[in-house]
Amino acid sequence: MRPTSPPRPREAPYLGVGVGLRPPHYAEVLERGARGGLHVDWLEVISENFMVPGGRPRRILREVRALLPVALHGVSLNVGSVDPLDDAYLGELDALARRVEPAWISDHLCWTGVGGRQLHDLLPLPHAEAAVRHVAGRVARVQDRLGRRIALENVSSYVRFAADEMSEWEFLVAVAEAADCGILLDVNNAFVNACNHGFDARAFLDAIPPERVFQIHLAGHSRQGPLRIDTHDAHVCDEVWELFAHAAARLGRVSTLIEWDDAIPAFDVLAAEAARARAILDAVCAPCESTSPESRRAGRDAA
Amino acid sequence: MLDATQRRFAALLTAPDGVGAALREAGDAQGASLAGFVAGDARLDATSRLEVYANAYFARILDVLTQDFGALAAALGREGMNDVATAYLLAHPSRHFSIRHVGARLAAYLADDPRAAPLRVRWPWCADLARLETALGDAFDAADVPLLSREALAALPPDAWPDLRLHFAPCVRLLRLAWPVRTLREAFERDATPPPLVTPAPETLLVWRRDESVRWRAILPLEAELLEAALAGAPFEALCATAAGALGEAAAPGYAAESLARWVHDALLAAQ
Repeated sequence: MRPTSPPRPREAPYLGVGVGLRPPHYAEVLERGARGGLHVDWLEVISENFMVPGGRPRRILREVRALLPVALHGVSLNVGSVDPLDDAYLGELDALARRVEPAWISDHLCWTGVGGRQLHDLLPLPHAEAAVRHVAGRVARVQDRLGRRIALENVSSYVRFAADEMSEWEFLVAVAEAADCGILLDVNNAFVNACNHGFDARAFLDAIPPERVFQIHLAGHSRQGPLRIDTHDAHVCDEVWELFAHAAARLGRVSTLIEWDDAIPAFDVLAAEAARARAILDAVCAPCESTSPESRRAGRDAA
Repeated sequence: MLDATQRRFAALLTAPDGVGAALREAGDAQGASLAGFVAGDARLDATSRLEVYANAYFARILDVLTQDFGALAAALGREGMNDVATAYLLAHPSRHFSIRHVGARLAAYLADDPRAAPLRVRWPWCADLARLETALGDAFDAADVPLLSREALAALPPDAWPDLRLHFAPCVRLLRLAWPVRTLREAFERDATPPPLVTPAPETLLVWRRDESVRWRAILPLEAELLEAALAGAPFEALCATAAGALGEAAAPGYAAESLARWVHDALLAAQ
């Protein structure tokens, strides 16, 4: 039996390797993008940065979208909170999605505020059945409101709750299955949590159902005492590159994105990280693809 | 379970002096009450793990306020901005989903809130500077509208002029301020040391956006009066009357027309 590519979510085709678009790179991305000199395949933007009435951000996004596929990545869905879902937020997200026609929409498996107070952080949830039911019901309502499936990202965390009843990956998969949503697999976050909470990151990656993975995130992190902190201010570390290769061997080609949010370097540094991710995907996935029935057929047709 | 977990987590994260202090105040210096809540381990106890979130919460909001109120932060200094942000956050926790709006009520808080009285004593000009920087932020991403062109104005029949009412672009803000905070903002934009402000001196500032670039300038009293009237919907005839009160009948129409031409050039006016 020869290996074949694993099943993919229908709404998340492979886009290649992209980077997160951040304000310091706006002008350069438009200028280089117009002459095909970006060397990245797609872009992800933070949804909230473009939920503004007008001005430069909206024009930039319009022009960037004309160049490349764009995914919307939110940080304020607050899908894990016990507060009611924010209708105003969902309305703005829906309007943004209609303007941008994104490849897909993602946010985080977390909560960001409670009691009407916004904490502006991606806060962890107890890994418990009650939380699975709570979050899954809300994700389903969000998906109904937006008329599409969304992807939820696993977040970095620095605490575990006494109420935990299962592992983080069991929790993530249970929510995704119950809500019928996608997964944005953040390999760096899985590694950070493995270090912070003492588990094997490969066990995390190996539990993720390939048919739910819309996208992969890669990013750098920093150390603070005995903890790893998800700071997005550095190169992807060697351990995370190894885990990415491990994930790619199992998942096949999944759209992959480099995030860099603090101490943002020149765009070429991000493009180089993207190139490294692309090389890993090529090295790991090509042997499988070359022996798959589809690629053999494609090869014959091309000949 | 989830409700109690999130409320307790939020209360610890936002405790003004940190998680450890909040626990000590509650008579639990060792954090024993956390045992059934969050788990620590041999590498790091539960209190320290929660502190990571508490520190990040304040640092993130302080960072946004420092970016959005750059001249204020520069003029107050690191410690002063820290004090202002702490007091403001206690009075006005963020309630908008986007952190972009976290400082939306800072100017009003500094101007009017009784809890900000000690801050006003230390920095009597701080509310005015916050108002200016709020206006700059609002102008940056205010809605785009079609602008009034010189040609459209020139094509207006003569008998339409007296009743002409101007519509302003949503980015336009007219600020009547008691302190000359312009000097602080100018110093900040030049990356220079902020000058001391000891004496109030009223000034009117105009903030707007043109070609995606946020602009502002101090304006003289007569132009301020005309702008204020025009923003309130007064017809062109009334603007001329206002100008006549200051300059006399002969010079008034010319001044009003020059002002109008400048506003069109600066992209302050929306198409009719």
